Amino acid sequence: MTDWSLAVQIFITGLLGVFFVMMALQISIQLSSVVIRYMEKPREKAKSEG
Amino acid sequence: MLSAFQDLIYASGFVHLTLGHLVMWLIAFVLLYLAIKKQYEPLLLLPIAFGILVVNLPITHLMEPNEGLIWRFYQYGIKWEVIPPLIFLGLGAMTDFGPVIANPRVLLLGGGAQAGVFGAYFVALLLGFDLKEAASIAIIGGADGPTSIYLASKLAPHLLGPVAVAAYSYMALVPIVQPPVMRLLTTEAERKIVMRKLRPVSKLEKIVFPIITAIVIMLMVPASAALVAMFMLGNLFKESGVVGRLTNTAQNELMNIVTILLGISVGATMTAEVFLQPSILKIFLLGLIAFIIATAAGILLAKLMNLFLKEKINPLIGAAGVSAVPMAARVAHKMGTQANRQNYLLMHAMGPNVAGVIGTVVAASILLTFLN
Repeated sequence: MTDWSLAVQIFITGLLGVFFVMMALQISIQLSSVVIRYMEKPREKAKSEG
Repeated sequence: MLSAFQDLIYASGFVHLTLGHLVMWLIAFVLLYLAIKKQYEPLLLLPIAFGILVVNLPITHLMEPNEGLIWRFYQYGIKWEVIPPLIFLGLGAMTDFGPVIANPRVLLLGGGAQAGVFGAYFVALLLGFDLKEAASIAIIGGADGPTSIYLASKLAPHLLGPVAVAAYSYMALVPIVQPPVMRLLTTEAERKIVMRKLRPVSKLEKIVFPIITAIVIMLMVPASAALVAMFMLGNLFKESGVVGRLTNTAQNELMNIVTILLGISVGATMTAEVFLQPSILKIFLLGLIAFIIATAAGILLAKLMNLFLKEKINPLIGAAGVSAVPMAARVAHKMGTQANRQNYLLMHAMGPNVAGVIGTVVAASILLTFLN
């Protein structure tokens, strides 16, 4: 006998869960890229001037 | 003398052959033909097909618990969860996440395509499968062979063989299954959207990516740890540039060895008794439904994102969230070029394509969290 309440819970939590995990990852990657590009800016500038 | 000869005959496999065995031989031959002649995912399909053939040769005891050779591969490689994570190590060492880092929004497209997994999950329940079986079948929609095998081996080992064959078959059929859905859900104008060239990504960004991804995903979904840890370790090998030998081994020798063991073990689970059931047809149907829903979900999510974005995404790349790497990306690129010859979508489509691998692992881990 299928536990339909659990099935619906899995369906909704699964969809939302994947979405939130990927969104959290997107934000983390974007933040890290911003920090890294800020750190690398002086080096890039020195390279282009040199 | 005569009785000795009789004993020899009765000890042979011929006497124990059944119609079921012969049907499985036929299936094995068809899969061998697809793998060798048509080159449908041959790296996995060929050993799977051969595994099906040899396990359906009677009284060879290859899958005899504690004795059979292939049983040992299966027990210590798959049941002990060793082989799928090692495959992910190799995959990580071969994957370039540059397109994802350059445009992190595609991570959402990789996640959106997992709607195919959960949609197929519901349909599987309606078709009479229990919760664990439905999850093992639905993960086919993620189009990721090792993840499908990992999840099925934990939740419904009796379905491992058909799930794996369905997953790899549909991955090979992506160029046939996806385009009609893509044409149906996009307009000519949308297919013509040109995407700007991706920004260059620095080495430091590529090194930091696997570290951050491992931390974020493993904290949020601990059940994903085995697969994500190995996936990101392999990628870190590649991007660090300081462990060339390890990267080479992960990409080549290790990957090849575990692929052989995985293929033959999975194939050998498909005995006549297990495979020749009416439910197997349902599995193949559900696999197709999962792929179609995943393709549609990726495209529709891209269109939804376009409502809020100044720089539009070509919705075709949403279909590449189905993580059949790199086939789905190539299909999106080809359709984009057909609509507009100046459009080069391949690298843009690779973003959601590799993001989809992460998405599928996350989806599988959520299912494991609830059901294991």
